[in-house]
Amino acid sequence: MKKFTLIIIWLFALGLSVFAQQAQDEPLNQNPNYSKYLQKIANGTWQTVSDDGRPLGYIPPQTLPNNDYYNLHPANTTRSLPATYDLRNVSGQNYMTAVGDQDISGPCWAFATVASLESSWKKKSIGTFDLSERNLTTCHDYYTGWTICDGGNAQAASGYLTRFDGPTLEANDPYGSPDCETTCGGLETPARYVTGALTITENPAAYKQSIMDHGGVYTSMGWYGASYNSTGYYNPADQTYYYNGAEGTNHGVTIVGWDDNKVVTGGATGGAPSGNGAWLIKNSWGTGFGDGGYFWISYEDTEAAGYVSYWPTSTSYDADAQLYHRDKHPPRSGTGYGNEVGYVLVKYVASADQKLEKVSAWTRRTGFMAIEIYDTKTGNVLSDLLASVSEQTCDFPGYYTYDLSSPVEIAEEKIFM
Amino acid sequence: MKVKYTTTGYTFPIPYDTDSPAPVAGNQWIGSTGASWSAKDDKCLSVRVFATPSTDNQTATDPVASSITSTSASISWTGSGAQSYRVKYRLKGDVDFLTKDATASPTTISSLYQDTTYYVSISTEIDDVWGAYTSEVPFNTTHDAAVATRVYVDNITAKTARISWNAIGAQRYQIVYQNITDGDAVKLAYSSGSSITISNLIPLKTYRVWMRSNVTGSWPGEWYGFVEFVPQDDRTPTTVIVSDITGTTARASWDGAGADSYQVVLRNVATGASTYYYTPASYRDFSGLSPGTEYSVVVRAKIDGSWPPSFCEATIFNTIADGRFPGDLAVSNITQTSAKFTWTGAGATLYTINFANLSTGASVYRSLLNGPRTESNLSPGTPYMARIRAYIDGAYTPFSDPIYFETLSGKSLLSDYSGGKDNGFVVFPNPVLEKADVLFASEATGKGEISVFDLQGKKHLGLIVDFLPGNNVYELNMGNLSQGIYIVSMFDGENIQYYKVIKQ
Repeated sequence: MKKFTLIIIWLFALGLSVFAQQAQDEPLNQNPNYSKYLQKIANGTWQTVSDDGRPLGYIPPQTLPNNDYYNLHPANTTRSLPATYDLRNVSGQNYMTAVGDQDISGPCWAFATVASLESSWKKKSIGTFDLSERNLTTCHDYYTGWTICDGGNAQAASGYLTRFDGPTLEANDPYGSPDCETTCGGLETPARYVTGALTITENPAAYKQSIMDHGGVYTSMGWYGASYNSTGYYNPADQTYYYNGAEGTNHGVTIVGWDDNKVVTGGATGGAPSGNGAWLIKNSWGTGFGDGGYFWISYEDTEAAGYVSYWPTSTSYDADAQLYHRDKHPPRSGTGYGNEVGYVLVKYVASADQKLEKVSAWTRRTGFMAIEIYDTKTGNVLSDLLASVSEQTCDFPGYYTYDLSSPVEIAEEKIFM
Repeated sequence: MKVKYTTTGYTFPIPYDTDSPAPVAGNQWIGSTGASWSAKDDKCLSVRVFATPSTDNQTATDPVASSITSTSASISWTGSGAQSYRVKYRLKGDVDFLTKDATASPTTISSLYQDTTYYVSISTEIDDVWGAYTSEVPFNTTHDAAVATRVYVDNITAKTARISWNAIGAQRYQIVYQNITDGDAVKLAYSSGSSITISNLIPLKTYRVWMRSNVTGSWPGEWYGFVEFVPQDDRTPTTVIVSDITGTTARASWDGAGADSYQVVLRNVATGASTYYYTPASYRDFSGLSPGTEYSVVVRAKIDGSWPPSFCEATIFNTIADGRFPGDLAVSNITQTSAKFTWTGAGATLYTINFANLSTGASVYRSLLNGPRTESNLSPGTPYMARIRAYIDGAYTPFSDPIYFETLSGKSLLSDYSGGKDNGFVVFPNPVLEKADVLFASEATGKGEISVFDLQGKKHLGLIVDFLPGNNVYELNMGNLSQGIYIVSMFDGENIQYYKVIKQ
């Protein structure tokens, strides 16, 4: 009997060992607003325009990145933030570009993305750009079947941007007067290459620091009620909005500042929040809305600013550059081994004599990332290290690009991994 | 690429995209330790590489000359590690070049001429194959103050020339010159200064001069200069100046004097017509030129009994345009015995038309105050020449180029019937409503004009006709004329007949 027990224990231990090496789906951070979206689609209550006809167009992503340790980096915990900040006037500098008008339902998220990029590049003295919302809206290819009027989100934008399909200049693909049948007219030369895409969830302090560091940030909100009068959640008199319901998100906008002491009156339905403080929002309903296109959302709004996305890094366009990738979009899923570490190995074949200059990868959690490039794989053994990036801290989930300290010359048809 | 993801306190989800196109099997793996790998062929792992075209760091580019002295330079370039590099350098203006091979940048090229422009480029040998040379890059060697590198020739006469150079301080300078036209033996001259005048040259022969500098007590191997010059005879014209230009006159003068004779060639650029003049003087006055016309003039000198093969360089000048000058002489209204002359230009003192019967040689000069001019009494069926000139400001212009014409042949209608014969000249019907036929008979071929006049003498219609021997019929359309009486005339160039017609 005793002997039998030992055998069972041994088998159990063996099973654990095997199980530990078996990849399994990791739990993802499901987005509750996506469930609400599906529910409303099913019962016919999904709104692509506001109650008084304002165009919306945000589709919540199915999942949000895990953001458990957003403040892992010490710098994230020692910030001193001002009580007010307005990208329209930072020590006399206006880091915003013109307010757009999406005109039809659907592209709000593209206007919010472009507003974020344009303010970021202007703030970083890269230049004042007028980027094409139409090209992003019609060419993102995130979900087959989405029309321009259905909408989108920052994940669709990140896929389009980080695979270097855009952003292109407005002049290359002007917005014009699109309708729901408008489709991608073709990719155009990117104005720059976007090399970073980050998402922060439920962390106002981190939002603020990112705005100060990088410019406007994309976010989602739920727009309900009227916009022309104060019968709903918006008060046109002071351009403040406060929603206290739980209907979910339906509109993409850009946060371009804040005021911790802002008094939000809100509309008749929602009333005023319990405290002061609001985000300064750049909308895409033209300059006739709000304060020249801008308005305020209370910190206490139950749907707004659940997460923000922004694209903090970019590099110059190079007509001869090539991006090796197998994934076309940001990761929509993940697998792992039930522990804190995961390894990935990807093989590419050089299509020409080239220099490998940068390496990029997505991560769905905050943590650390180390990258190595090898020349040879024999069975499980990697050898002939060509280059490496030492362990880097990833403060937020998203897309990171690292320069190789010394570019790796690689011959055409050469395999590297 | 191998990516290690690490987090703290949570399991780590290796990111992948579910909706990208399926990856190529065998190109992706995941693992928990980095020491063993499981194929991940169904989803696209999110790892990327950014690549730009490779730069060839072996092939030499951008050659640069540095540490330049009067005789050497260090040549460097970007690119390293190739099998070999070849530096090619040549003198500016030379096709021939020298090379120097090296295994790495930089390399020094020496034995250069000082104060000289060189062009340098580099080729790279990789895998036993030499690549293309880079673009040539110029550099200049420095100048040693005592070494002559530039030679100048001036004060050239028929038999002497001054040779100077850009140096001072050498013990001696050796100057070599040679008549290369005849291939004569070289001659030497020496100086410790900066110039020397050489003599006993042969005029109009091409000489070449070059030199070297003895700075240290021995003669170096480098020669500089190689300048060519031609001793000029001071009787030889080299430059012609045209002055005192009017519409019809000008003076050409030149810088040579004392030759046996000077041949001056004046050429009308437009027509190519040339006029040759000979004079012992150093100038020549031209008259009778055409106003507003471009001319060229060249001169050569007959010296010691022979003409040189070439002229001095041509000088171009334009005479002044003159509205009085006759031009574009033309002849019209030619009949058997008359012709009308017209021309452009007016206001001259006098215009003279010269026309000549080319059959008899009889020539007539008709002086007129202005034009046009109709000449009669010409002979029928006869070739004539005509030309025109004007008397302007006290002198005649040259005659224009002649024009040629021939009077009409045939006999006069009326003269043939002047004896009372009826040639049948009639207009029918009469009265006429619209169209009428003009009928007449002729004994010869000829040309005439049928005209219709009203009673006030105003001409309403004119019809040039070629008539033939026998009966002739021509149609007159009088439909546009008002009702009334008209006179139809028939003029054969000499005589005229009339016929009265009523237009209804």
